[in-house]
Amino acid sequence: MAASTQQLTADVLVVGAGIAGLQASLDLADQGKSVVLVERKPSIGGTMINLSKVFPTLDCASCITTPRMASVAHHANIDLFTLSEVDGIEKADGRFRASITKKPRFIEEDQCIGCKRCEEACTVFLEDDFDHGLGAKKAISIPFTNAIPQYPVLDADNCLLCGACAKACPTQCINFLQEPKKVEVDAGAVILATGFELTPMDAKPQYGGGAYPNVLSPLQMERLLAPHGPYGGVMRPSDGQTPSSIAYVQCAGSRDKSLGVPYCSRVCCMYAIKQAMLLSGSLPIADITIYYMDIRAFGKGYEQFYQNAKAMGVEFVKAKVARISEDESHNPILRIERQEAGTGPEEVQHDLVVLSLGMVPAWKPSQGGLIAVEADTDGFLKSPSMKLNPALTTIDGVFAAGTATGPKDIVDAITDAGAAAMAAGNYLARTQPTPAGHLP
Amino acid sequence: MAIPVDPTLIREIKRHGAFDVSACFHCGNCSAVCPLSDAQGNFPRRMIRLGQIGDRKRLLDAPDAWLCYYCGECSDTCPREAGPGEYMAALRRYAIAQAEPTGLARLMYRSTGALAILTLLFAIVLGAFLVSIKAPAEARAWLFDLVPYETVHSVGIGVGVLATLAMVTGALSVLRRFLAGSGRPAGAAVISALRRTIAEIATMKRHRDESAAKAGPWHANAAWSHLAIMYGFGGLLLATILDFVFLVLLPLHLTTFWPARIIGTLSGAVMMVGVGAAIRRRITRTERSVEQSLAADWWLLAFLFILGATGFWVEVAVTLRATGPVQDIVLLIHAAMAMELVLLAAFTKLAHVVYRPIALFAYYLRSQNTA
Repeated sequence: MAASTQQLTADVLVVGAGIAGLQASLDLADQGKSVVLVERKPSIGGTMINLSKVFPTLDCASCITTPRMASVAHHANIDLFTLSEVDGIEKADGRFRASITKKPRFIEEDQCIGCKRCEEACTVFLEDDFDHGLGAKKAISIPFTNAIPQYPVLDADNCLLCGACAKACPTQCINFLQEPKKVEVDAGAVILATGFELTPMDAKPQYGGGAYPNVLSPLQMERLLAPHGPYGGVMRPSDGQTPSSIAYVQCAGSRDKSLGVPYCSRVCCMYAIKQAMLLSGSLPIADITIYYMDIRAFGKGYEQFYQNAKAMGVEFVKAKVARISEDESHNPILRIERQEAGTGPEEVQHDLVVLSLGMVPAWKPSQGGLIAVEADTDGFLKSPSMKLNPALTTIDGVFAAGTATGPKDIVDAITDAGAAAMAAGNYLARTQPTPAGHLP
Repeated sequence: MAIPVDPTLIREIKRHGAFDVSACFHCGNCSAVCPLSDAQGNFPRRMIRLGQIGDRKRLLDAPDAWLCYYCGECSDTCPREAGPGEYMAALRRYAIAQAEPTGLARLMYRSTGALAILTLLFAIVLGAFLVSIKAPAEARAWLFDLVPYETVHSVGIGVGVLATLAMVTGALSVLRRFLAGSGRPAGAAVISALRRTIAEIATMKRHRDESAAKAGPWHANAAWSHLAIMYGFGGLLLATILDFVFLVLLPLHLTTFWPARIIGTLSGAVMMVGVGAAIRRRITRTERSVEQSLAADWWLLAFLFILGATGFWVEVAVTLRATGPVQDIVLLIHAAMAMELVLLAAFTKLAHVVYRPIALFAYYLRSQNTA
């Protein structure tokens, strides 16, 4: 199947469909600009759709993210490419030419009706990446319940090619021979909303190298807390018991030069407090302890949120967790020095521990691809005018939104995306005298 | 009890090598990550706190600074990059300076120039002293035109007496400090603490445990190079004592006492291997503990290296029956520096040979009292 290259022209190319990329795309599209939005994962929504609730409002993340996702997916001015990677962007004559690879889902999207028959028929169970390894998924599956678009993806590496899904499919849309497709986009401006990743669980050898089953990443805890989470409740991965003592290790991936992350990731204090509150709700008799260096509750309503958590009985212990080990029952043991006690280092055992991991860029210019913007010393994209025009990058016409330029919470990422959309709009008005943006 | 706050103390300690310690905000990571810290020896954070509030008495009364072997893990993982490991090293220098009354150590730690000038001055005084004991006629004539023989001789002896006194008073003062407030220990406890102290010094087990986690060849491991230096130095000391006993004290009229000669040669070789490895570590800066080398650190290694090198030179010369002014000068340098090293023990890094065992003894004694 030799696929011909699809050619597209747009006002703005947006890379990354997390909440910042979605917001920037919507802000531009609502103003009549044409947008091509490219997402490397099979669904849009980024990290936000993966969360249970958001701080400090405790809104349900699914409930407020899904409408945004749907608006983008159905917007007449937005061309959406999921499971697609931008291989490179070249700037010539004031325009940007991007080559995109649309990876195969191994289904014909125009025929799929999202009925999930294939998923039901599939006999291969895999680790579910949406649940961060806590749950299972099929080798052909829709990434998660409210994924957009609602197309399944076939994991070619693990598929047995048994044909069960193809037999079950009512529209015969499964195509085991599907090839990657090339798309070329000619755009007037680019917004990079490449987002963040959490620091790896095994980054700090003192924390057991990610080998302890009852030491979780914060996103794993988000999934346990989500109403449609993998276990249907908060349980210990090692034995399925309900934990009665849960600890948060703050700054487990930030403010630690030995990890190469000397900066503060800004969101960890707040998400830990939020999860602690949610845990107090779902496990009312559990003891929840947050080990911290200092609590950084900087946003509107955040300090009150922190005080509320204290009032709810969440214990805050000023002590940096230096080491984690575990006993034979996989109970994590934290080694700390309580500042107020003065009795020397001690070891405290908990049932479940969450490492408050930090944020690192999901894409760094040094790894190639995309476009040769400059990175800052922290690895995130450099903002040459950080104070007055934070959406700028080091290339004129290329803007950055959300956590591409540094750690941000959702509120700031959305504000930032609006700023990037506005800056891109201004740039188009300046450079494209006859806007290409009058849409079909 | 009221605690006197003294903001000048931390500034004073910082000048001994703890340049970043003011950044500490007491999260306790250093004490908890430390493989050696426990309830009886709780460091580095508690020590930093005492330094920051300026509680000089409690700081100097604590043996904790000497329980640390500076693996550097606290500094590597410090979220504030406050250098708790460097602080502990600075505290040891500060403790050495505080334990001797002359102010000489303080001067040498704070000023590299003073260290160089004083080292040279001592070398000249001791060299002249040695020459004065048994010098060739022409050297006598040249030297004692400037300074009378009697002056040189009595200055040399005076320096020796003062330095010995400084070491003894220093040792007594830290012993008194470390044991203050612990009451009168039972005899059995003292014996057990002594036994554990000797075992630790002989095997350096705490030091080896601490650096065991680090990968790399033996010569990149601080514990092993320190063991080599320690046993080498000890062997040389033993050989010197044996030589003194068998060649000088006993009326045997021997020219060479072979057991001492063999022990000395082997020990010298072992020490030179250790010194070489230590110098290599400090030059290549392979780990945190050798990232920052103060003049005082180089001073001791340089002394040991020069002593070892000149010692082997003299041994070869003796074996080959080589004579002449070069051999005389090398021997003079060797002897003068060896004397200087011992005489300055109380004022330099070498004082740890006395203070660390005392601190370990106090720590083991305290562990027993609470056990």
